[in-house]
Amino acid sequence: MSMQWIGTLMPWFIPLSLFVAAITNERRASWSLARGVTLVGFMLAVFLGIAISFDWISLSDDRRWTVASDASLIVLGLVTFIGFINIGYSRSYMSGNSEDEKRYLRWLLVTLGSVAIVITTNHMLVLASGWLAITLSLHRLLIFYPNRQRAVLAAYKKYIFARIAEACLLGAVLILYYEHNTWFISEIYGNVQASDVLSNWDKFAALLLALAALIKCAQLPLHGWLIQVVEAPTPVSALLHAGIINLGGYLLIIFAPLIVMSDVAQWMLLIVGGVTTVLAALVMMTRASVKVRLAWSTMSQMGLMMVECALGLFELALLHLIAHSCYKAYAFLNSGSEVEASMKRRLAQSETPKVKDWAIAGLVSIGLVGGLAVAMQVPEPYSPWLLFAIALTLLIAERRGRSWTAGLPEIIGLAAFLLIVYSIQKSSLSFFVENLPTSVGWAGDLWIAFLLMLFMAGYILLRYFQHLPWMAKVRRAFYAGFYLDELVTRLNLRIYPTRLPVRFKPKKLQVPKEELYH
Amino acid sequence: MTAMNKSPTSYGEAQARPLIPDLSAGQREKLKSACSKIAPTWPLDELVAVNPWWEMREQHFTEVSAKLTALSQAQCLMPKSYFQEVWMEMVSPQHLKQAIEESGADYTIENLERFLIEDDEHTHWHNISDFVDSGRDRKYKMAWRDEITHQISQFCADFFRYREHTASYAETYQGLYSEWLATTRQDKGIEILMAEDGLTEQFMSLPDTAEELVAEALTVLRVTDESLEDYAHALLLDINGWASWVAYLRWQDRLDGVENNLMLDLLAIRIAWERVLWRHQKFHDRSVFNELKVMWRHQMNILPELIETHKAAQAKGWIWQRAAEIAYQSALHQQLEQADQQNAQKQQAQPKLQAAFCIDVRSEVIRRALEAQDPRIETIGFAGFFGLPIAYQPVGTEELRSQLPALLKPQLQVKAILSQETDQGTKKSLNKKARWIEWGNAPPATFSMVEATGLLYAFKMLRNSFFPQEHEHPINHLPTADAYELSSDNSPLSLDDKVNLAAGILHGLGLDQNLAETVMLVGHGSSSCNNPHAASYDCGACGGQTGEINVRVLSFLLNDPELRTGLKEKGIQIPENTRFVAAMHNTTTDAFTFYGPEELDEEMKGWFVRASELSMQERAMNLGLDHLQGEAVYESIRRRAKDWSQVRPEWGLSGNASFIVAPRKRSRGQNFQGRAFLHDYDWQKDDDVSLLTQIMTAPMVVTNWINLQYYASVCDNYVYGSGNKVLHNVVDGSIGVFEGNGGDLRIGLPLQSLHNGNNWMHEPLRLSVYIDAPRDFIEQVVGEHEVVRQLIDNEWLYCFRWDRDGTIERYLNQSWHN
Repeated sequence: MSMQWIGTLMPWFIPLSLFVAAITNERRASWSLARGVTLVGFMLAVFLGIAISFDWISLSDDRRWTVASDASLIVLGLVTFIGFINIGYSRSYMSGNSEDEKRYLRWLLVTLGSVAIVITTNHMLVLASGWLAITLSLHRLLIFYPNRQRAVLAAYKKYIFARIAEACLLGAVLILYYEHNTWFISEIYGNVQASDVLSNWDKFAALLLALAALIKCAQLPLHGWLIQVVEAPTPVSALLHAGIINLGGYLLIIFAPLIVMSDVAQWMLLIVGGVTTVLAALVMMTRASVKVRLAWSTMSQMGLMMVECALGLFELALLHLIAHSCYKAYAFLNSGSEVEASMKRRLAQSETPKVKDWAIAGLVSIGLVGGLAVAMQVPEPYSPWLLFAIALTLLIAERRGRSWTAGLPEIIGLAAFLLIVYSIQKSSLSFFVENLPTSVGWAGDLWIAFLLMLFMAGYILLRYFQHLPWMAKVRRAFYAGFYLDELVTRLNLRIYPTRLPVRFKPKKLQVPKEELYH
Repeated sequence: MTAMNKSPTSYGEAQARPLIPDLSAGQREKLKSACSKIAPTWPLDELVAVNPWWEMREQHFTEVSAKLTALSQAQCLMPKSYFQEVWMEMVSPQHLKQAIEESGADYTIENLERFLIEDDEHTHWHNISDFVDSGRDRKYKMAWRDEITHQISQFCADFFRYREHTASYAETYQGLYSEWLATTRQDKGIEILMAEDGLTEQFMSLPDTAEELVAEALTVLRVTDESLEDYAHALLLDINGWASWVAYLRWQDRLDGVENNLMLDLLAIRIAWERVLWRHQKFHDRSVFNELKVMWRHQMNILPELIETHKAAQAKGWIWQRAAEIAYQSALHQQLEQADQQNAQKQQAQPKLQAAFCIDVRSEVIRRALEAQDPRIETIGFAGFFGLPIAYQPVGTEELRSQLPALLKPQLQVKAILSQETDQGTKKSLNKKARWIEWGNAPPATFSMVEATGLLYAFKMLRNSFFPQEHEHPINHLPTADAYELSSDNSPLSLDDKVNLAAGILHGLGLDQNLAETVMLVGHGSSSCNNPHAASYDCGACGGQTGEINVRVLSFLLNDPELRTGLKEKGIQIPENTRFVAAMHNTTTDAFTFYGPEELDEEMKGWFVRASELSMQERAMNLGLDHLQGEAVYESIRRRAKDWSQVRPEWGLSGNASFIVAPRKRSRGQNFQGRAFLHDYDWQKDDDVSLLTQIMTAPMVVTNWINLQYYASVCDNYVYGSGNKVLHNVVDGSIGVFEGNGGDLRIGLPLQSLHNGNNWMHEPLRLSVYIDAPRDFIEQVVGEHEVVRQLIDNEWLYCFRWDRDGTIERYLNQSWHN
């Protein structure tokens, strides 16, 4: 019993300690304390995970205040880990002016604390307020240099979208409360899972949740801010891309049964998420600067996570969430190494694969993935496996360099190894979340498979047929991101005008005429 | 509101294309001159320092400063707040008085003090886009200025992506303007974003070639011939970053003797915007347009006055700048006098070790530390590429990397002699790395890559945070050897050529006699992780690379018995037991690495270890490590080199202020605080003034580039520096960085290389050059070389003569001043 009591209390300690650390920054930035707090948070998350799996603590009480699901602990561990690394990194990266350091660390800790609230709580109202607190505190980090015009513009755009997402979330929360008469997420999870059909209000709530998740994950066409907030310091981007933006996916995972029973929510996720996945990834290909590439990549990765949720593949979505966070945090923090990465590419330039290469690669990959699927009797949906087969096709086909070509057996070995690593990781997460059958079923699977084929074709055209005159036009449209963000920005300035800071070195724009005619 | 002003006639005018005028010869001349005023910026992986005003050196610094401020607000002087800070601290009334006297103006100290607290802002040149902006409702609409910069910059980032180099860059990147036009005509986004309906039409009517466009725009805008050059210059300064990149492509083509006119294309793009906004305004808001027209014409009339106004306003600022320089120089003069007195009494010991270092200011610290170890140690200062005009081809690659000053074109190719297996093995591993990176970035594969290997990155983060590895540079860590193959135009270099090369270098180094048993050739390089500007800490004389290849190749040559026989025939005697040893000084950690088959003796090794420690202790203060002691200091400094989050691995060449060209024995024992470039030179061994000519036309120019890069990056980091490192966003791998999402390409040094968060770590002073040579030597070089004369007479640097008797006099405008 006492263990149980500790178990429910302990998660509160994490956000609380982060907030306390945030307010102890008055005199000077206390980096060591901040780092210690995130480390303790990480260890607590791990301990809780162990305690629950050994049944020292049970999550059977549906009216508990903390830990909405097993997935919460995983995400909690992830966020505290990213926070831990991030603070250690920021310590020398952001060093310099002590006022700036204090301000930076304070808001970083508040943001992390708010994220921790969202992840630890099982209470929907707390979740909604934590959600609000994240965007408010993150806003301070996004405009960390308040005189940067584009940073402010992007942050305000995000500010507006965030309010819409919060309205959706709050709406969903209230509807669910009135429908199920409980504020507890796990209780609703159980209730919905036990029932066969959703009430219309529940369906509406599911739709609102899906909307909130899509906006949070910067899906088309509300994506512009994510690209433009690379105006913020690198570790802020790392935190945003690794620990905050994916909360949309977390939201769908903890409300999984609602989503899989609502056709409308699923189709919305499949269409918006699917299209974003493909387009954003192709746009990424055309961009020249490293952080902007990373931002487009995040959008597209989040799109795939949405799709996986809509297909009922929650374990895959969770794997994606974790793996992508680690990858993206690293990629941002390490983005200064881009000069050397591009040097490595230049030292061994690629050779265009021949048709034969594509054919062999395609057959081998389908063989590998198909073989595994048959052997393990993989259930539907199949489109994620198709995606993996496409990736392996690329790996095998594009192995040629100008002065060296990797041997086929060697590269097939690598492909097989990747496939095995992937399936092991994927299935080990089924310990924490379960896949659920969806109401949309095979139609959704087919739609995604169709998109993936287009995707592959688009990639090959953009990469190998750039010289065609009509491709030049298409490519320009991709490079411009289809002008979607321009529309949104204009609308934004119209609805919510904001006086942007004057650029750092303004020409005196309003020239007094006397001065000109002296 | 705007729609009401659309009249049918104005549309008719837009559609009926007027006859396109031709550029007159006078206009061409002026455009050419404007285009030539932009200095290049090198790519990040060979980031050498550049004097951003190099292409304007034929004018006096103060003239250039006034013009740049008038045209684009670029600052060539520190702000008043800076002089407030140094006044009565570093700069005393006596310095200020001297500066006033020199200027000949009738200022008083009170005048100048008042200047520091006065507010005297003046207006400056406005491009059409600036005027149009001033009439815009900026609460609901975005500013044109930023949008134009953004649009051009984003386009250039895409257009100037890495391409297979053909005959010349002019050819590789031809069609800059026409590609921009095609892109912009297709772009519906600008019209939407800027909330300006009908804007796209204006792009439709633009002429198809750059020259036609410029000619047409100049007619439409009625640009007078008198203001054309300055106007064109102002437009290029608006996109100075990309203009500098284009200037780089031009520079490279010029080394190959190819004409490159890309700059005119870039200018055409910028002026196209002016023309578009002009006409858009004309058809959409006639009343605003009329006002614009009058203001625009008037501005052209008053432009010369405008520049004069700025010149007058800056005059006092230059006195302050001069006073700060006098403060530094007078202390240095005293020090140089003392040096002579002290060194006159010392006995010269027979050297046991001679070590040649790069002239880099960081070498001054380590040389002093090394010399302090034993009187039998002699050090020499020489440009760090050691006179080898080489390009290095790393094993297993097609790459040819220049290892010499950016001013020069490589004459020789160098390749390490390695086994077939090493070559194959390197190719294999390079291909593996490159393909893996490309696979992870290929859109359809990136998801599976992330899902399969994402967790690996958690371990990478842990490793980089807690168990950082030594930084590995993709090229410098490829296998190399102690033996090299030198070739010229694909045919091996003959022994004769090698002998001549070596003889010239030895003569330059002053090593054609009295050689010690061990002669060390010390190159330098830095190590920092995750740092886009890493190359800016490497050796400028080696083209922004480490000097490793140069010292290894040179010691290989000089140890070659065959070559030594050849040298003997030329009268250069290298004793049998003399051994040349290649070594590297790591400027971040002060560690030494020695190359070659033989070990150094223990005593010598000990010298180097203690010298590094001494140097680290000296640098600890500026690195903010003064609270640490002993081993902890060294540990902390070494960690910086491996830390992926370190934005200030070392202070590079900040502080640089003087260049001393004299025998080392005259300056030995003096502490120049790492602020002096030191070049060895003995005029008594330079009968034909050829060595001095070489020094004043090459190393002195390089030091001027470095000095003014630091100067400019401090004075105006927005225009000439690359801003805040924590926002940097690398463009296409090596072109440069954006600060944040976009904006212009940023050139020069980041703030973190110059500023510790509270104070500037570099004091912007023009270089003071001290040459130990007779008057007529210096007069001869200046007389024969226009570039040198321009640098001296237009006060881009100070040229002093440091006579053997201790007198120091300044050479300016063909006369000597005390």
